[in-house]
Amino acid sequence: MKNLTLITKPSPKIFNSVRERDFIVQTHLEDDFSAIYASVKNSENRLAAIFVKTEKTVSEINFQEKWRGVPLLFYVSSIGKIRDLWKNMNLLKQLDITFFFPADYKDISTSISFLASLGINSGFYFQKDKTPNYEGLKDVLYYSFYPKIPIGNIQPYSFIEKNDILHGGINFSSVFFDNPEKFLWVDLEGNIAFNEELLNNKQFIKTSIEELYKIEEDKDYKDELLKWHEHFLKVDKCSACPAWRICKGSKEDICNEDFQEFMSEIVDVASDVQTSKPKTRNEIWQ
Amino acid sequence: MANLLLTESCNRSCPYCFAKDYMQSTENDFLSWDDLIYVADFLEASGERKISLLGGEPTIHPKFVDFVRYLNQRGFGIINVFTNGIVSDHHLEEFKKYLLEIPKNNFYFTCNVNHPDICSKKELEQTGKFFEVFGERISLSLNVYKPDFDWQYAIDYIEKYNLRRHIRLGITHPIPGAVNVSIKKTDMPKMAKRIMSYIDQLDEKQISLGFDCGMPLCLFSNEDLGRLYKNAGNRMRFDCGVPVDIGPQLDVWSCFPLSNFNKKSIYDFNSLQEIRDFYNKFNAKIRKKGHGLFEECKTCHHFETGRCAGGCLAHIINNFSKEEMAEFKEELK
Repeated sequence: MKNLTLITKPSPKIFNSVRERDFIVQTHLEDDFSAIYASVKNSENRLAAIFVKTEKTVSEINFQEKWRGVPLLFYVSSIGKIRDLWKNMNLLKQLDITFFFPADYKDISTSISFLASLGINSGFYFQKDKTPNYEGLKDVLYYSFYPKIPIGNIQPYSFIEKNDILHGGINFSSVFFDNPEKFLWVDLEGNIAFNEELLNNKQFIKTSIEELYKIEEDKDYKDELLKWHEHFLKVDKCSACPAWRICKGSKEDICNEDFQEFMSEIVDVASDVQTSKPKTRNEIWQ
Repeated sequence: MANLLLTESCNRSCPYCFAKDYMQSTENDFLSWDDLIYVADFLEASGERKISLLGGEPTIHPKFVDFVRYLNQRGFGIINVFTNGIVSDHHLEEFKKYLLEIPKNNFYFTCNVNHPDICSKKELEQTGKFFEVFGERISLSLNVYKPDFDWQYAIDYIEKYNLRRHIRLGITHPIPGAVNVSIKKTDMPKMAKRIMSYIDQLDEKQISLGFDCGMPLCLFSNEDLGRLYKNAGNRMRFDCGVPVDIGPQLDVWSCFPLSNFNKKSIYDFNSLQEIRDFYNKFNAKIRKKGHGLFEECKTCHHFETGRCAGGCLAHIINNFSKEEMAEFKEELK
């Protein structure tokens, strides 16, 4: 069985209903992360990350010593006041944390470059009905792929860079946990969906977590994994898109001409970087 | 150590200012966050972890505190801020709150102070407050722009505010093609004599002296040199390095006196060493064309070996004949 990572809200009931699973727990800033960590661990599962969506800015978050060792993913509104970051900066650099900003954030380039240059991981996410700040995202693209110095990861660019796009496709939506090949979303009642939006719309693939173990044999699940075939059967815009190798049609709902151009530029840059990487010769025992 | 200008604006207008021609207050003359990050990356990739922050007056940059904290967090082990120490009460409170946390060996000031006679009462009051807060992080820097200069006030400041026991003495140079007050070469021996008149007091108070670039070695007798070395050790220099100045719009040039010549962009280079090599070649070209400041430089082995630069290149350029200047400008193209 594939080790599908489950994304859910904190619930000992859900944690205790499965074993040997990776969990990403979606919660609030006010919650006790170490208690969640302990709860997942006690259920004989693994905590892949704690995932928080907040309206707060980075500078408004009260970073805590006890967060050390817990992988954290924060969706924040902006970086906030840099002046207020300094008191926490040493701790922040030591935490296993990634900040995601909305792609339309006007200061996205400066904020991400600032964090990355200090070795702090960050990234951006797309939102429906909001036009991304393409200029900023492109600046960050080049900063991420051609850094002068070692920098923090910038998602989804780092994900794309670390996966071979020259000899096969990848789905960069994994970074947003929107890839059923790797992630499934579970609500507090144990209902399972392919992504967050479907979960919120109560479009479940299964209505009990007990059914998780046989999901791979499920026809709907298999169909979902092969859904990308449809683009070629319909011969739609995705089927001829230069960015297919990194998107696999996963952002069809927000894709327009500008988005396609932006994604194609990512492919060009990633291909250039991956092509120019020195090939390592296999040693004889490999 | 590279010099990074945070702004071109200054809250003072000194008669000798070697940067005066460059300082034109414009609306967008503050270094941006993006450009600071670029410069920090550029220097780090060049293996340089020391930086001087200049202006204009760098402390008037609205992000001054954040820039310093950022560079410190980036691992710049030395952040030296060249300031005039005229800081508002509001900014001083801010500096106290956010900058005193940085260890004093990593972050300090070189404070350029004028004689109190040419400063307003308010200026002196603010500088005094600044000295009280940051005293142990402050070295004084004086620009000598007349041969009979009086710098007793600097020694008094060191005593009164317990500042670092070092004085950096810069000889003011002419800016080719611009107007500023500077020391004429005929006045230089008098100036050197004046410097030596303070050496006993400096020794007695255990204050070391250091020269900025372009001080000709031959202004001092062997006995003077012995006393200077005894006072300052290897801080005593007579050469001309390429400090590399980086402007707020990421222009680069060799140093302020030569800022009107061969200005490039940081984007033209891959490393700090490349910039230094470029301007070293450029400076060597000027020196070859005009030799040193004095006629004797032509046969001086100190000049030949580079122990002495033969004064600032700005003097040499100023001495070019019309034909030589035209030829020089042609070469630059």
